Amino acid sequence: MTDVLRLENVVAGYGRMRILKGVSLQVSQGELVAIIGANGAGKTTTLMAICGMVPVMSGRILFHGEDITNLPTVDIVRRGLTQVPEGRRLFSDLTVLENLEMGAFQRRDRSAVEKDLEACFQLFPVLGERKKQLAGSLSGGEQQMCAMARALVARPSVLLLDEPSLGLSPILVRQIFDVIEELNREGTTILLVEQNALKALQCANRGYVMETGQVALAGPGRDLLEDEKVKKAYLGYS
Amino acid sequence: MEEFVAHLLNACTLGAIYALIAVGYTMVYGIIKLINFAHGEIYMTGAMLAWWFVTSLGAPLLLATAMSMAGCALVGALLDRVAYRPLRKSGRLAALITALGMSLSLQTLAQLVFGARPKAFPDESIPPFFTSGWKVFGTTLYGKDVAIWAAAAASMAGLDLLVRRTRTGKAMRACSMDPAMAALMGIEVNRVITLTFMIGSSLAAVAGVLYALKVGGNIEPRMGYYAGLLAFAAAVLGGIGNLRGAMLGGLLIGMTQALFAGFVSSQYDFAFAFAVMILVILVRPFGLLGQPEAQRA
Ligand SMILES: Nc1ncnc2c1ncn2[C@@H]1O[C@H](COP(=O)(O)OP(=O)(O)OP(=O)(O)O)[C@@H](O)[C@H]1O
Ligand SMILES: [Mg+2]
Repeated sequence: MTDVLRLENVVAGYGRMRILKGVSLQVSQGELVAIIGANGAGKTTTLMAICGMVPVMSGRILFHGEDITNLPTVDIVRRGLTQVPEGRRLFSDLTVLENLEMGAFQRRDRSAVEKDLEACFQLFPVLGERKKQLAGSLSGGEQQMCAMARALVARPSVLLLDEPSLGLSPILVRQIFDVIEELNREGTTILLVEQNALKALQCANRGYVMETGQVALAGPGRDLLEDEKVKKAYLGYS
Repeated sequence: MEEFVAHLLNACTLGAIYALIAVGYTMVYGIIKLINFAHGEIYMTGAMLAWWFVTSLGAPLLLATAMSMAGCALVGALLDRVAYRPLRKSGRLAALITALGMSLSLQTLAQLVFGARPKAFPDESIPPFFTSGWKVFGTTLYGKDVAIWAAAAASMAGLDLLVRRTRTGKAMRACSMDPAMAALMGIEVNRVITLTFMIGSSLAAVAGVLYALKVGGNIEPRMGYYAGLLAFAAAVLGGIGNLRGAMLGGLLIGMTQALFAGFVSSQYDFAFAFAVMILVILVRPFGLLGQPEAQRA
């Protein structure tokens, strides 16, 4: 079995409220998997449950075959799972460089971290130019790049992305997607949550469509793009 | 003129001491949004322990202070572990009331262990430099004031460097901005909080010792009450959660109080310092160096 990440019937939510009502999905080694769905479908909650930030009431989450359900977030992150959360959530009063250093917090190989920082500045030259600037003073697009870079310096084996293209201009959207595909080609397994269903399904190997806390549809990206329901509800065809 | 200079020197010393206490309030508030009302009692414990190490173990003052810092760091860490951490998810009010309770408990405990009688460091334990003096502008500048300034300045410069430059310090700032996100980066938030309590507490211990040296005694279980309140006012004045703000606020509150006591009345100095704090807050609701949350997004 090459499943890197596997959710089995996960029920999760806030307090008494059950938001995820039995979500099952899996991501294999090296795959790029997209989750699409309407606002409030539970996509963000799914990613947060994977990272141990939303309590799982029943069901299991397996990472490389090991049960990580409800483990402390820190333990999950140390296993190689990193998330770029919805809305970036940079440390706004830290500089760009300091934000990236926080991304590499759990790494001990200092010289390799230095190299990865350099690589990040190569990938996102704006960040290199603005190393010493407070992250809160970056533009929206720059913040998104910074959030990406912060996740990358953690050297994750699995990267969870929550709406990385939100609020970006078309050129930046393309750039972000280029980076995502490039990372995936280099071997990073990616689980991508997107409102931009067309883009997401075009570059994904497989996709899941979520509706009200459940997986409504699943299949290869291309197939979902052809699906009549998906076309209607998420791609804007009528 | 002489009188003014004399009062000014005192004012600086008091300000330095309050600043040392205020950073503890502001660091803890920054990271868990709690006014740790027991912080004044940590300051008291610092003076108390150092006194005990000197008088019972015969430790030299410097060593006794270092030991007291370590002791207070432990007390601070325990305080968080036992009293505050279990309430982390139960809302701010529960934690605030617990903090008040811990303040009273520590006071009572100190009274039980050390007694209520005020204590002073024995004269022979005080380094001769402290009592030497120089004439400046017609008044005497004592060694102890200089020593207090130096100790306070060194502690705060060290703290500032730690928080700004080191990996741990950056993690502390990250945790105070967004603890959930910090956890997502693999930062152990609870460990960072423990560390914050330890650092704040050990600086309070230094302040306690310095205060006792300044006034020549007055080490007693209730000494943390007023000092704690004023240092809290100082942290608010500077902008609660802002480290340099707390240092500045401490200096200003201490100077306000001491100058008012010197020139007007030593009965209302406390009230006056508070009034000044309130006035500033009316004009700048987020304190001198603080920023409104919304502008930080
Ligand atoms: N902290 C919270 N407490 C209570 N309910 C929440 C919380 N966060 C989200 N919810 C609820 O959970 C449901 C799913 O939210 P979630 O953020 O997972 O949706 P989403 O699919 O990511 O939507 P979007 O596309 O708008 O980001 C929503 O109905 C939301 O109101
Ligand atoms: Mg979402």
